[in-house]
Amino acid sequence: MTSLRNDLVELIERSALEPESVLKAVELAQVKPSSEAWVRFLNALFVWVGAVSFGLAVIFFFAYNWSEMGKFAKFALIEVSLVVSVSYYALAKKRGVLTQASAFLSSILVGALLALFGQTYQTGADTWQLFATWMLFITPWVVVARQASVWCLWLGLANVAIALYLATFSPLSFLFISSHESMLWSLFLFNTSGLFLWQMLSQTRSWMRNTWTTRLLAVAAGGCSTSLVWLSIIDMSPNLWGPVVAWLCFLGSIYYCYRKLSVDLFMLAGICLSCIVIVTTFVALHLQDADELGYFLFLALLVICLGLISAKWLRAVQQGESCHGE
Amino acid sequence: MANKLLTRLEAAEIPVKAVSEQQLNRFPWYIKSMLALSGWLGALFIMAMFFFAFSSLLDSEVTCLLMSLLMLVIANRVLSSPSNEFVEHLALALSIAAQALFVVAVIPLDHDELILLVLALFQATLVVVMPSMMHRVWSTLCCCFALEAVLTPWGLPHFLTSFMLVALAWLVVNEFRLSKWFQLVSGIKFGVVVTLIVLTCTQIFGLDSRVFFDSFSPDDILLPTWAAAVAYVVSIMISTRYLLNYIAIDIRTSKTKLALVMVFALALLTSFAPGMGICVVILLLAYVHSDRVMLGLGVLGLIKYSSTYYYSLEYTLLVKAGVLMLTALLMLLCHWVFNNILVQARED
Repeated sequence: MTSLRNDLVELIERSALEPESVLKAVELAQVKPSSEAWVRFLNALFVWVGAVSFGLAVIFFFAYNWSEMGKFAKFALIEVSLVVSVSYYALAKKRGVLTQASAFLSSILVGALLALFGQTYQTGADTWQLFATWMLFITPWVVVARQASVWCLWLGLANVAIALYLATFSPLSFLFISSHESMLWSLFLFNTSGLFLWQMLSQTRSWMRNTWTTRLLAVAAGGCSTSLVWLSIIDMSPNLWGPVVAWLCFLGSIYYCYRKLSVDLFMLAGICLSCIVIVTTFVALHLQDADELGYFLFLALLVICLGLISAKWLRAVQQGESCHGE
Repeated sequence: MANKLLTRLEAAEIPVKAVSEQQLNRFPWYIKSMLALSGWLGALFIMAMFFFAFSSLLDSEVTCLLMSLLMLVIANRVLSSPSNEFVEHLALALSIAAQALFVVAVIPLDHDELILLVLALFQATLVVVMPSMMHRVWSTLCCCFALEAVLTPWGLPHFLTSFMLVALAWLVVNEFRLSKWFQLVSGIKFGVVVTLIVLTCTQIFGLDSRVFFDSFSPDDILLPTWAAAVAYVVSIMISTRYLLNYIAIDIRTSKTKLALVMVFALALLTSFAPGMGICVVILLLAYVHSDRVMLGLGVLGLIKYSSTYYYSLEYTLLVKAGVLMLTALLMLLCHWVFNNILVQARED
């Protein structure tokens, strides 16, 4: 859709257009699709809704008969689907949306097959082993496919495997670090390394240059570092400085990369949100003995001030970028 | 982008009042979300402060009502003045706290349907009075929920969704014709879309929920269940008629009549899975005016409904599989008819 609907709506909401001119403006903004666009849309609607209905019908049918199906039928179902999706990827002449979807689907089906194997033969494996094995098995495909979506699936599996492993075992308990803390530290280090590597490799690889993958990694790493500091504050931990230094270094790096080297408002907004959460929590914990009325009033004013400062700063950065762009 | 539209309007000699670049440069969605979260956090502390300061006053319904109205007036003033997302969400949280106080004030009425009707009227008033898109969406959602709950003891839980579908079609088609009330129409439109998706995907107002109402009696005469299906099919046909009229397709031609027969067959089939039909109509209405947000909501609704349909207990999995398979075949038939008969006829 190449319509200028959002801009037209903005003008109407600001009463910048006379009411009698609006319908003409609708035509000029190309809000109404052309006949050809309608043909393409309806074709896509019929095909996709039909395909999804067909897929769901098959799933519902098998779910109805699942308990009556023998184990070979269940394995055959998943293995045939896996062979079909991998064959499609391998034999397709052109790389496009369908081949990307087949690569993603193949990676998912490997997990389904491993889960079915564990359920049927009661292997007694830990849950983290399922995710770790799944991640290892799809690694060659992930490298070959060169697709951000499949890499994100791989990174997600790695995160889950690490989290589940550390939830089961506490290798650093001799250092008086709880399993929860060691999990957050491991995930923080893993995702930060992933973010750094992805950003570095995307300089020379065009298929890696999409913003949503770096943002996803930054959210994961930022979430872990913020959680570490937040938990240390809540628990009044004596080891507060370690998480705080790591958090400050992480925020500083994000600021440097996404404010000085390039500009990404999403990352800067993440910095603001992280700071608001940590500062509010810190002040809330240290003032909890104060009078209740004054306590909540001060916290409300603190959050309002921090929010307004963030809004002003982000607006200034956004305007600076639009002026720079022009 | 804004300059592109302004250039076209200038070339067509359409007068545009001065609008600054800053006013046209809105924050992207992630910054709005961040500011919204911070606004709500701040509002929570303000609410806690009010609670501690005035908790003794909340024992009286009259005081609750007066405080609620006062808070609504303050929220209205804040929302009426130009502000950023942070302040807007602060005012939204204040308004929702006021609405909660209003509910506390009306509970002593002690009659379920009367309370719900009062709440529906209250929310309908807020839709008109509160100058915020988010608030209008929220109030429309609450109003429709209250009305749906009122209709449930009378055995009419599904009629409102059919009526709302027709109302949605009318709102979409007249969205730009009613430009003087554009924000109001937009708010109601999105509120209806969200309500339709939530009601069809959660199915919380099924006939079984009648037992929770005071006026429930097992001897009540209910409408037969096929009446809801008839209402659904009629609403789909009326919405389609609105759509065809709007995009200037003559419904008297034989080809259009064929298209309407296909729509009727689909509507009849999807009456066993109404969420699917409703979400497809939402997608079609969204495309009429290139509304990406509504398209996204329609797609989300379809995805959510597929899991709701799996777990619903109205029919067995075998029946549901059959309905879906027939729908798939009918969709593919529609695709063939559309390309080989309807599009060909148009080209001829």
